[in-house]
Amino acid sequence: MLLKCHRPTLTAALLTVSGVVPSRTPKDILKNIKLTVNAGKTVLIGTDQEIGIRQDVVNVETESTGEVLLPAARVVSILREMPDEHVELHATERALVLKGAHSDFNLSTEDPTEFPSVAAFEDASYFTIAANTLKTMIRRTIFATDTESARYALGGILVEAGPDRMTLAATDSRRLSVMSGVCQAIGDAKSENAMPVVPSKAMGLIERSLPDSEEPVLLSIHANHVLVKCGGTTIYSRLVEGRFPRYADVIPSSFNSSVDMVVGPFYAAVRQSQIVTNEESRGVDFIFEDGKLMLSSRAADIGQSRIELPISYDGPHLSITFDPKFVADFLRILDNGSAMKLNLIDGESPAVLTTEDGYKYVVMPLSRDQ
Amino acid sequence: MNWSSIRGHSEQVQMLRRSLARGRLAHAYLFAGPPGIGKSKFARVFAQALFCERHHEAELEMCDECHCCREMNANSHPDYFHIRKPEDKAEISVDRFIGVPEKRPRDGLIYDLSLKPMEARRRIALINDANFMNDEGANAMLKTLEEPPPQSVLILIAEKLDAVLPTIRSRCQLLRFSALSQQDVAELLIENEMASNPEEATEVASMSEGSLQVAAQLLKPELRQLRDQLSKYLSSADMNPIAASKTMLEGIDASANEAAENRRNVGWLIRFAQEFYRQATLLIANPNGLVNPSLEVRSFAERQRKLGTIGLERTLELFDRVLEAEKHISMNIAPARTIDSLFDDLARLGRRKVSTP
Repeated sequence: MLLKCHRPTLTAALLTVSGVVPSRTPKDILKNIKLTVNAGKTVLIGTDQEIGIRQDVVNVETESTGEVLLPAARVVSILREMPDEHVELHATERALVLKGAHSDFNLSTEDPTEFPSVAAFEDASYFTIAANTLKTMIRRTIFATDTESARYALGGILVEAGPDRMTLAATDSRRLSVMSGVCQAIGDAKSENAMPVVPSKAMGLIERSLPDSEEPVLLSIHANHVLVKCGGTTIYSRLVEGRFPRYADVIPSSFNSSVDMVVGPFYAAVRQSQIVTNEESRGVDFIFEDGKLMLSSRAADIGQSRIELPISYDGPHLSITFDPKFVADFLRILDNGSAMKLNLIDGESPAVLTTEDGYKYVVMPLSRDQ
Repeated sequence: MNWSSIRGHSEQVQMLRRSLARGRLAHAYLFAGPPGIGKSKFARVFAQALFCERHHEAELEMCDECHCCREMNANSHPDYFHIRKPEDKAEISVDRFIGVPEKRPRDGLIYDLSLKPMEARRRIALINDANFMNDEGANAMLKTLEEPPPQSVLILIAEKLDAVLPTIRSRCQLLRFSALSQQDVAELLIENEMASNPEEATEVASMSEGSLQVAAQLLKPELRQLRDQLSKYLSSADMNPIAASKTMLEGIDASANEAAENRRNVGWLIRFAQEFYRQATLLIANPNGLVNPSLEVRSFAERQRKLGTIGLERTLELFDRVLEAEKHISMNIAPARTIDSLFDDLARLGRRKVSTP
């Protein structure tokens, strides 16, 4: 197999795939990146057995067909150090030669047929969604996943795709984050898994790899895995086993009061209130009175704080205790100037924080006697 | 690999086939049996048969050619997890199950099993040396064993059933494996080029307790030398017990690097002595009863046979004394003392005057 590649392009593609190649693994073959050439199309594949990436490589001149395993770390170092504009790759049964104008490297390689196969995006029906929309949706849900307990289904984001809307949901059982956006079903697209939960690690990678533009992202959900394709990159992820809670049931539908807020000042007040809290007394009282919100916290051995914020509130006196971290998590990912709504029932019921663009965040209040 | 690379254990294959045919594949198996009989290899082939793309799983067969089979042979199948005790450790760390502390709980076997399979219909985890799981690890596995994620199969392998926590045992379907036949061991020794000739293979196999691992130990040159020296002492008419036990203990020290190995080799020494007297007894009863007995056994048996019944009785007495030594070792009496007293008694029993009627 003989390929002539544009070195910087190949290096960039390898670096993208290297993101998932594990540095320490009991299965040494995973430290490789598989390069396949078929019908003039060159693809790099890497996987850690949980997430996989298939990356198309452009600017390759070749007439051969075949596959070879590239020892990832070594090939990347070689390509980085080479001064040449172009590099030649010769692959034989057991060896790989990288050739520049003044250097050549002969590496022994492993058998490509032993490399785990990573599903390719070959679906005729799939969902499409704008990259920046999906990126925002992931950013607004991923922080609510539970990556610390052994409830694995909560360690991922639920992806519900419908004919025109896609909804992502994540919860750690104390708060719930739900965001939906406009999507499009191409062909007869539907999810093969009734409850597809994508691990947060894979979601994080997808979020990082997507461009901040309206470029369409193709998504297809299979029984055991999900494929996300954008441009020349396809990300594969295994789904999580287990049931995701029926989250729609915990979102209250009617409220006693609904307060309009601006993110910036509210976030500043919450941050201040967070200072005088500790592990034992994490709660901050949010007291709503005519025209103002008062945040008050008290922690043994530390002291107490009181922060006032003028708001447009004219309902009855209402006091509710939150873990300020949960409220701050929500405010952190929003623009300071944007508007949000705080919907309340009473001091004991879940509060729902919403934005205009279809984002809902449910927080459970802390019990008062703490 | 395929079933033909597994020797013996055909009953177990049939049992698994029957349960698969009825759609009753258990979610957790505990394979128990002596060391060195191929349990782990069996489990691997079983996993490969479940993965093979060309055969329906109820057939429990494999093609050895499809992608899944190739990956199994290369040990790179993404849905196959294998845990074993590291050679230099005394137990399997809990990290293998729930992940290293900084990554918990998003690492380790339990997390791997919480994801859907990547290529196959199911995930299979093999836990070798399950009797070396510490309490922490075993307890971490309890929930997974009780209610494994759908479509996953756990195979635990243990040499000693008692050493596996009862809470683990009760959650697995037990499948017992028996020792290999002597013939199987002998053939394996030749196939794997561990024994140099068929005679050696047969001889070692007869003492191997049906375990290839034991046979491999017996084939170590130090132990073989020890055995030859022992035979010489036992066959001599007038054994010097002090010299004998000194030579033996020196031989054992030279053969072992650590206390545990030392102890095990003392056990072997005693087993060699038993084997010597066993063969001698057979020869006394029937001079043609053994194919190719060693020179030493033959000369000893010859001498005893001349004494008539007394010779046979004496041989059995000596045999009994060796059995007692085995008991001493299991009671944790110091090896040096056990060997000293054994040779002392053997010499005395052998020297006793025979009062001819």
